Amino acid sequence: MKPNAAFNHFVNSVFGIDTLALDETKDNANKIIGAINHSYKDGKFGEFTINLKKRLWRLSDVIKSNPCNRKVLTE
Amino acid sequence: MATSNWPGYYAELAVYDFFTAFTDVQFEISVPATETLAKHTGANRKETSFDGCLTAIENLTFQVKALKDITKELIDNIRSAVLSEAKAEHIVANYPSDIDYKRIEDNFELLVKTLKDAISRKDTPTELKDQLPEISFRIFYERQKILTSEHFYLPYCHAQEWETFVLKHFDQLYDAKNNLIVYVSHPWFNGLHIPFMGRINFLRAFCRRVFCKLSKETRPISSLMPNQWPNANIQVSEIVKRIGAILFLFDDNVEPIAPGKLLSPVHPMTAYLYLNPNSQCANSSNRVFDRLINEMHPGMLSVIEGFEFDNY
Repeated sequence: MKPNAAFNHFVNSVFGIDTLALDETKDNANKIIGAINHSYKDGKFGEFTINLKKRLWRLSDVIKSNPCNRKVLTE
Repeated sequence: MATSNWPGYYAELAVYDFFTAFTDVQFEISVPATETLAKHTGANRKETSFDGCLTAIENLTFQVKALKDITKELIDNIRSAVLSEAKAEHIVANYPSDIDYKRIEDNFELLVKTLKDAISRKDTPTELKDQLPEISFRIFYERQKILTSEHFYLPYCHAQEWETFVLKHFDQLYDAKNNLIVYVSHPWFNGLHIPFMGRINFLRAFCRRVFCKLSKETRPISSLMPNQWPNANIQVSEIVKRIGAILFLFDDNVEPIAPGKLLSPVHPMTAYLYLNPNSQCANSSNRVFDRLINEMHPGMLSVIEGFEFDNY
């Protein structure tokens, strides 16, 4: 999996399909995308990825009742 | 977050997570620039954006900034700029980590040029003796297995060198309301402010310099930060009075939490709140921040400091 594809999958697994659609042929890799890609590939940065996903789940619950906040988070 | 400016977005995410754990938050709001200190910048701006507003706590607005090791970031950028055009294997920099980053920023182009010139002469050690005698570079033309560098750090020196840092975004403060500034640190963009490097010493010294020293600074910001705010016509003391408090969030989510450690609802974040004893809204400030503190869950704040008996 390419780094952008891993990041798309990570975000969309919380906020819903098609929330994020980075060009999977390009390489936008920064430290966050790189760490998430590693966690899919070889399990590295597991603690970080788990904690970030928990954060996104918490925020996902919070923005359900506030479409404006959802827009800020997902755009 | 899929950009090179990911620390800023990451910081906002952390702050939204922190606040929504105990109160209602409106993410991102814009107000007319005339209601904010943007009107003193000398630029013709229509709106000022805030990163959020705590709607249940008297609509307290907040700005979020990533607390980065800017010096390291600048040195890394210098290294990349040089190595993208000149041929060398490694450039190692020895520098004090508590240096005023603005001095490196101001000499950025000169440093890049000096290093490129040094590489064209195949020099190994390089420095800017006149402008930045504290920084030295070593250039390697063959691949090295091990690279070492020297850095010095004193939290009180760092606080002194950084005392105007908070003024960098003064245009994003409300004029007639309380302002909360939130700085977020993460090990991947700030390796400096870790507990055994005197984190608390730095935070307290930094805030005390801002709240107690700069609140007496009558010079205009244009004379303290001429490169960034050449046309701004407001006294530094007037800016500082508008800061109600500074909250620092340290997001240590990279390492596993030690077993048995008591967790706050937003672990692995550690929060430190410093209140401005010289805020212009001292009375309403106390009320607003008392509410903020009372709404938080137990364990969310590691430090609350108001400088009541240390305000001189």
